[in-house]
Amino acid sequence: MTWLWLELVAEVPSRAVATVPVSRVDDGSAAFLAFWSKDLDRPGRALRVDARLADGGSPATWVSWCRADAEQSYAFDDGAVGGALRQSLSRPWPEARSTLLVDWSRIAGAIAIAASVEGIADDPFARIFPRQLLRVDAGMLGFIDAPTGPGITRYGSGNPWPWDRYAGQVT
Amino acid sequence: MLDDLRPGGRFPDLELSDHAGNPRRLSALVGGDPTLVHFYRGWWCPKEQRFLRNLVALQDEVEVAYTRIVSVSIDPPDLASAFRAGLGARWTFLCDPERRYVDALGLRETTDTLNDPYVPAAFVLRPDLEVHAFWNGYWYWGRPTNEELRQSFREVTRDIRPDWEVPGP
Repeated sequence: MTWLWLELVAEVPSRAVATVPVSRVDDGSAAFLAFWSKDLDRPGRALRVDARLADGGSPATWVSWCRADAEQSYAFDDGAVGGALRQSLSRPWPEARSTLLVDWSRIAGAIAIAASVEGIADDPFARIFPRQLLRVDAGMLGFIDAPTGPGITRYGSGNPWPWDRYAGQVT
Repeated sequence: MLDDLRPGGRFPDLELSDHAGNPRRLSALVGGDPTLVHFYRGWWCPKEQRFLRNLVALQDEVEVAYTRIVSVSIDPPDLASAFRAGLGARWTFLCDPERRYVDALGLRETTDTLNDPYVPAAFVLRPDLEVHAFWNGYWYWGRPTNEELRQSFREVTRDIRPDWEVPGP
């Protein structure tokens, strides 16, 4: 399992391993999704995300960015989070989805990307966290396949769901 | 039925579309967990509707137990997706409307010449796709109960998890 730090920022930051230009749907302002190596100390308010999102190649042009205000977060085991995970498995899976973690036990958001606005219109995590809709150029963000299901538990503390196996496990 | 589908055999690594139309490979879906792979006739069969409701009842345990479920039928993705949603299932349904694996697996139900489906069958697989347990579901009572599935998942989990015995300090 590999994860990266991710944050929505106004300017291109230093030391990022990837920076993806986006625009906010509500006011058209420009921003960047910045990815940093997990080997760094937490850059600012960045959150842990499944690293496959940074691989690029998906046709997604819409981003559902659900992010807690300030330093708010929930326990990953909170019932509201479990409910959002179940709903995510119940409905059509977008091009990619990842929870966004503060550390090994806390969640402060989630990201989903899709090729059409319908794909991310009803994001279960938008009921937990404030949401911004973003636009991104196709090919800039990567696929994360739907997990087999019905599992909602993480494989190793600190790893963002939906990564679906213990590192190094026989496959 | 293929001899490889008996306990101890290696289950073929199927490649089929899932209920959303995405190509999936069984070994990737199984990943590193004990997995129930079962074949059902189709959305229209009352026995399948009953059996799948049993699995839906079990999924609240499966979802926290590092264990997986994969359902396979001749239903095309749009039908499988609607059936899955109606059941409230949260696992992957694989679709074989072309019947690519029906004969390869020896699972053609020859007595149903109208629908030409898979014979209902259930397998608990280990992460390397070795068959741990098998149930012939042609007759409904041949299918696994949820308690039998719990026992089978426990056996595989105990075998593959090095920390089944609680690690010491």
